[in-house]
Amino acid sequence: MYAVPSEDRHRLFVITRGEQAVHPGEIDQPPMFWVVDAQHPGPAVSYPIGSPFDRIAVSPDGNLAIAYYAAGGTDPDGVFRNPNELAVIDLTRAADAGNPALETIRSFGSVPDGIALSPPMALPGGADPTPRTFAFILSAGTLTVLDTTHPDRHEVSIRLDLAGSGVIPRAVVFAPDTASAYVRSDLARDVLQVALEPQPPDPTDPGDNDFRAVVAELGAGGGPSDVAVYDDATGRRVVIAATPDTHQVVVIDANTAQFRSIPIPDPINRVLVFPSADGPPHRALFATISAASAAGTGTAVAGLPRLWLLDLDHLADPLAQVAPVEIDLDQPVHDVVPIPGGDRALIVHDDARTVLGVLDLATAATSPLLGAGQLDSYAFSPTGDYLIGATQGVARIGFVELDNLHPTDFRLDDPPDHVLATANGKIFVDHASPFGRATIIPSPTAGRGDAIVLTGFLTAGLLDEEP
Amino acid sequence: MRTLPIARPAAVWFASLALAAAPAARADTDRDPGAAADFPVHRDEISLGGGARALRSPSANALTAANLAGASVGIARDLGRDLGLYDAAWPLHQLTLWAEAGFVTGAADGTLFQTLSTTIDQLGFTAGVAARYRVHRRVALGVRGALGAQRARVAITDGSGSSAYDHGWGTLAQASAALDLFLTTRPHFGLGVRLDAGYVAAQGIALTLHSDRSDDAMLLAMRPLSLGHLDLSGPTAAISLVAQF
Repeated sequence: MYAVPSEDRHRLFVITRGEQAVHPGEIDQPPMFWVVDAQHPGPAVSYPIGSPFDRIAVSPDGNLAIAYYAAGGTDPDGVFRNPNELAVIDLTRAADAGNPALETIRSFGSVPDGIALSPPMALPGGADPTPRTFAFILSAGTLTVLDTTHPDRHEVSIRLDLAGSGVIPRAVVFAPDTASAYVRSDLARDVLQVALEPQPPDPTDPGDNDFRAVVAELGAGGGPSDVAVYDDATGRRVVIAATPDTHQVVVIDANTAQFRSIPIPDPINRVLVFPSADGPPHRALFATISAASAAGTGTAVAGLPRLWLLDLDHLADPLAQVAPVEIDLDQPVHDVVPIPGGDRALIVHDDARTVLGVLDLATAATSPLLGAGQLDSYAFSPTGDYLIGATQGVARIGFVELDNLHPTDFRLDDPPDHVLATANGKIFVDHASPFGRATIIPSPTAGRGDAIVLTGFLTAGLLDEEP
Repeated sequence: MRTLPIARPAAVWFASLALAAAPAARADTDRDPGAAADFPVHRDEISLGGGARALRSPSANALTAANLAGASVGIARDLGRDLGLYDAAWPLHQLTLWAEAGFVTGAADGTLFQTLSTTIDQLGFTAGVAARYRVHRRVALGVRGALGAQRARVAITDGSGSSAYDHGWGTLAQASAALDLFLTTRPHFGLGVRLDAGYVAAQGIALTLHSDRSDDAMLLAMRPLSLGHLDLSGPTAAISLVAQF
């Protein structure tokens, strides 16, 4: 079984691999894709997917999903498996003969490492103005583009040899207004821009596409280790790429491919932009975080005790002097996580997550936090007012009021396994019971009298289910 | 002289059986007025045996693929004799009417979600009536109907050994047919074997899993969600040793 939530966390998408009956009383169950809608209780919607896929990609608007096989290997129980097979599922309509659509993508010896689905994009100047979702299928040395609105049409395979040898695409960000995607790859020299341009289909080929993919290298000038994309106040799409080989951060105008290099002495491998309440982000944060390997080279990277803060408001002005501000820390950085709802970031200093810090980007000030134990799970309240943390084996939930860093504890009846903050401000503490056991805390300031323990939700109504 | 290699206890058992059966054919003196000449008349009965109930409901199949297996104990009394029904108007001399009460246990183990161990324990108490017809002095056919109550307990244990459980009560109705084979039919004592097959219709028992806590700490308010209703209906088969006196 494999499950992923939708982006708004209102729906859960589940693959059940299916089983053939072995014992008397069991019934055959084919591989199925399920949609569980938490907002509308009722039976889950199901789609037969034909193969025991074990990965799911969901479009940002939640209207389309693709089930595929993980690159690590397919189901070992089968006799034959096709690792390049996909099931394209239109979630806006019920299952029928054409939904899901099973497709096998062209392969040059590699199998998909991941799939990124675009937001609805209309081809600029195209005959068909309908926004559609495009699937960008990432595999070693190849990027495949599939028009999921017309899965019966040919896919477009893009060999990534031009970006370097052994290139492995890792991340895709989209610019829907220009029907473009920006691809960051391990071992690549630059960021790849893939623009989808209209092109009349061959009338003699019913499977021909009405677009073509135009690939361009954006001049990052070195192997990008991380990219971030944002739209500035004028609506211009900007790509920020960190290139540790050249010790630079490159800011690229996605529309014109013009770029501006900003030297940073550290080998940056984490780029974060901080959206503000009024829309476009004003600041970007750069870090060198510890990692087991860098860019697929197998070389370990040690975190550095520094962060770099860049003001984004004047990047478009060629006369403005742009210089990142260095923020020195006491200890190396293991991870940086943006805190929702403000210009703050949580800095994790060790892999045990016992030493933390809160960075205020407005003042460039950091405040240390000490965890009594390993912070195994944490979340932020939706407004970003509280950090909520849990340590496995310790029957408590910790809260930190981020305005004044005041810590409080909430005693639980059972040790936590995972903590979530829901959009309505409640805290869901999962205790990892096979029967389903969770503590629901109404708010970070609630007392024990306000909380309830919900038990048996994983087996609720089990005996009343019909086969 | 060589003999067949029958174990000594078994040989003794067979010999006793033969001795017990032989004189019984000559010693049946306590007969009901109007009853056929060679049929024994006993008023009370005790039975002890074991049986199985095939679980066919989706709820039971969710917990186990096995059948309930257990023991049974029963008592019965010739109701027709106590009520004076065996008069001239009684239609068949070989037909007797009995009041019965029984107690039955059953247990089954299974696996849930391929990782959780399940156990179902069941206790049943029944009372009913049975009609028995002697087709031979050693053979009787019977039908019975009973109503009662049963207690079902479900426990689910995970790999770490922690478990959740619940029990509940529900009603049941049972109907069955039986074949009695009497090994001995002395005037004041009869011993035989009863083969019984029937069906139990059981009420679904609502269950909500709970877990024990060893400490006495103040706990948060708890909202358990129901596991559902366990239906232990199914066909039954039993064999029991019957003593009548």
